[in-house]
Amino acid sequence: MNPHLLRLLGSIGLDILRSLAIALGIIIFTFFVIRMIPGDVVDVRGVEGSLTYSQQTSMREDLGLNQPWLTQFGEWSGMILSGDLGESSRYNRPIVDLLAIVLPSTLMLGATALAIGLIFGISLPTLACLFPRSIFVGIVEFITIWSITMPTFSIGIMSVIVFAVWLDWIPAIGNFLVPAIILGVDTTGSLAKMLYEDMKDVESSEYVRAARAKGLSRSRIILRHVLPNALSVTIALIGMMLAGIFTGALTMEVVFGLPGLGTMTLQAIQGRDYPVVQAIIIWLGLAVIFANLMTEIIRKLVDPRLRTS
Amino acid sequence: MTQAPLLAVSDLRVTITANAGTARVVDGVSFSIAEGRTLALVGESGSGKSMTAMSLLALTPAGVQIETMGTAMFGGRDLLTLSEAELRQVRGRQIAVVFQDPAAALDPLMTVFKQIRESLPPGQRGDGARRRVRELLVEVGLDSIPHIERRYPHELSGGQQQRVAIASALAGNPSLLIADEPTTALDMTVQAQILELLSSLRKARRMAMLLITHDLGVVAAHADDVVVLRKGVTVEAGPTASVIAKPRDAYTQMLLDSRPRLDAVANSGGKPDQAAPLLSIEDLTVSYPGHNAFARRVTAVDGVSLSLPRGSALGIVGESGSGKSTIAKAIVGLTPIEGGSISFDGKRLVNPGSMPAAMRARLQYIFQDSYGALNPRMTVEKAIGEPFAITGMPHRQRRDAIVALLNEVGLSDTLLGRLPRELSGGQRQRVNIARALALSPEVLICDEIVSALDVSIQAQVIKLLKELQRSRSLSLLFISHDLGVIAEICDRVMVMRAGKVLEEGPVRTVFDTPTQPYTRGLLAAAEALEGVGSHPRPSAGVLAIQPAEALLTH
Repeated sequence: MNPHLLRLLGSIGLDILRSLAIALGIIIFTFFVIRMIPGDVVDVRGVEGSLTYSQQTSMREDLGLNQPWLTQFGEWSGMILSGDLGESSRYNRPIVDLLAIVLPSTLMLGATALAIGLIFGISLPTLACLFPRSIFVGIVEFITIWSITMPTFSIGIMSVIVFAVWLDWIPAIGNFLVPAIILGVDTTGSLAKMLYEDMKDVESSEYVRAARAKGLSRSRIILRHVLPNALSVTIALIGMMLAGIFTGALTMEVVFGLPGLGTMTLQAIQGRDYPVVQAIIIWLGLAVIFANLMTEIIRKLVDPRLRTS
Repeated sequence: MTQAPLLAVSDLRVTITANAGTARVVDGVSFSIAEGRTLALVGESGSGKSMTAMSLLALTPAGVQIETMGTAMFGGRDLLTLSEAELRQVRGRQIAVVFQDPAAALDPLMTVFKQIRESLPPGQRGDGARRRVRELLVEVGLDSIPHIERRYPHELSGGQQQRVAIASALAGNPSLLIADEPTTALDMTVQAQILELLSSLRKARRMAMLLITHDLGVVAAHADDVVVLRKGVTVEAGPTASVIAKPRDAYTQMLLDSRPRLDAVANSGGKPDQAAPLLSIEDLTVSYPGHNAFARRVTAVDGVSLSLPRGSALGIVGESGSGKSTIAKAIVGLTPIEGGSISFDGKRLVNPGSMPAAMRARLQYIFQDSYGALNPRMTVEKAIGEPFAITGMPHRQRRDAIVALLNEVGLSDTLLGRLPRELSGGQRQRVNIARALALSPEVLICDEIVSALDVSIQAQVIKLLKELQRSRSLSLLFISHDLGVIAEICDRVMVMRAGKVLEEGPVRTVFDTPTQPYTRGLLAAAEALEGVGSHPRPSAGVLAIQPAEALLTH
């Protein structure tokens, strides 16, 4: 078998093991942190005044809350691992069903923003390097400053005021495109800035000078040498940006009144719906781990120096 | 042989503009190269030798604007007047370049195959390209390495990387090859091999070569003609044999004289006191963690013992990866030791990292990178004064002590207010030496301290070290890959390879009658590089240079 492929697979296998270990850590952490918050579901209901002491005791027995923590953890983690996230204590519906309703909307928003960010965040700096005296350099600089100085939630609120209230172009609640563009532009800015600077660095490297000495054209040098080398550095940050897109999506949903994960999280926290909060924390944690695992794998596909095992 | 030269440069003037300002770096240089000949441009740093060659193809470093005057006729055209698009046709196809540091000059994300294929003339695709790349790899002697086409640069040794770069330069069948210090970044045995390879390729392909180097030994062995440059001006030019045998210019003479000689006899003044070694190491073992948590640890130093008597100078030679610097770092506690013991002045250092300050002062370390070893924001006065500040010497006395140290290392006290970047390489290394001497140490550990310096400066620093060793009766642990430098300074030498000591003894004994084949290979390589000027030694004359890099990597 090709030694390169073998080494690559071995190294990716290690990454997956590492990700699984972190995921397990998040599940354990979430369980015990929730248990450390004083009171449980039964207390919340008891305080609401509808339960007698004996009802509370039998309810704890039903829910298994009188068992030692470790036993509870064993049952709970078995449940989580089989994909069952438990029941919402507020809506009395399986959390999986609730997530199935809200997740598509959030994923759609995040994915659109990511797609906009990747397309423009990579193409704009590349064009700016290919045509150093063109308008693209200015665009990269403008969008960079825009994304640094303008928080997405404030632009979101302003857009609602301008486009929905004043101009009446979009509905004030439930518009999808505007928040996607706002998040996408924000992502474009941070990606373009990093990539442009990395490309400038790579352009002054010795192997680019060597490529010029080979008689290669400028566009080939930029596309075959500068861009891949700069991207191999920048990709590492895309995983982290994904986490940012997700949190950004959560605020955008609240601002634009979209029925997604963000709105659900807000309601669950306000309503002390701990099983739901717990499930969302685990879901987000796993999503970030997955995103980082993906970027790590892509980096290894791109940069052979990282394939050690 | 009277034929029209391949390249005729006349009255070349180059002005560069960078952030720092504008400077004329080449001022009226003329030379010509005939087909199939080698011309060497020789000079020290700042002589304009690289700029002369690179300005021909407008291959200046990034961020540097150049302006050229004069003419450079090549194939009936003046290179200096060509547009970027026209130059692109010349680059790689008619004039190719091999750069100094192959690790930096190869794209880290590209396989060997792609790097070379990229240099083929346009139109070669598929199987044709594959065959052509294979032929080139055979030509540079890399064909025996398994899966060489699929390898990435970081999977190759320095010598192999330079061979890939050479193959890639040859891909366009150039009639002129510019080799810009092609061996400076490589180990000594590899240097000789690469130079041999370049010479034989040049002969086989009837290609001309413009060889840029700081080393007159390399020139003597490999160039037909030589141009000696100094500060952008031609000092001397002519056929190599006559320039080297009878230099007309004092500067050329000085360059020749300052080269460290293998047959030098170090003359350390003080009588080494063999009875009680000042520093001794027993069975030292140091290892580094492997690539990841599950990989085996890499053993850098494997059971090394040495002793350094008071007033003596011990040289440690070896190629990169031999563990010579690791020993030095372990002694001062910069790297944790795994086994064995280190004793200083009779006391065993259980953990050199937590050495008491009073003992630390007696043991000082000087680094190879003179610039990196100085804080860029500290003036010379502050840098040298820092050890005094740490020991709490009052401000009043500090200034005098600093000036005294500066004078001792041969620097003027007008440099007190300068920052490291305002000093030359030689001045910076002297400042480092002065700082190391501030606390009157008994042992100086010198880790390749002259290898980044120009030969003339190197000779001065070596002279200074010898004087200091005598006047202060210092003990030196001198690490170098350069056998000539070791011969100049040390009375004993230890040859290391792959973490182990191969042989140890008085310098003249080891160099004149080496017992190990590896040592003989090192000496033969050093002599091949030294070229003229040294008496041929029978022991080395009969030995072919071993393909050491093949042994090292597998």
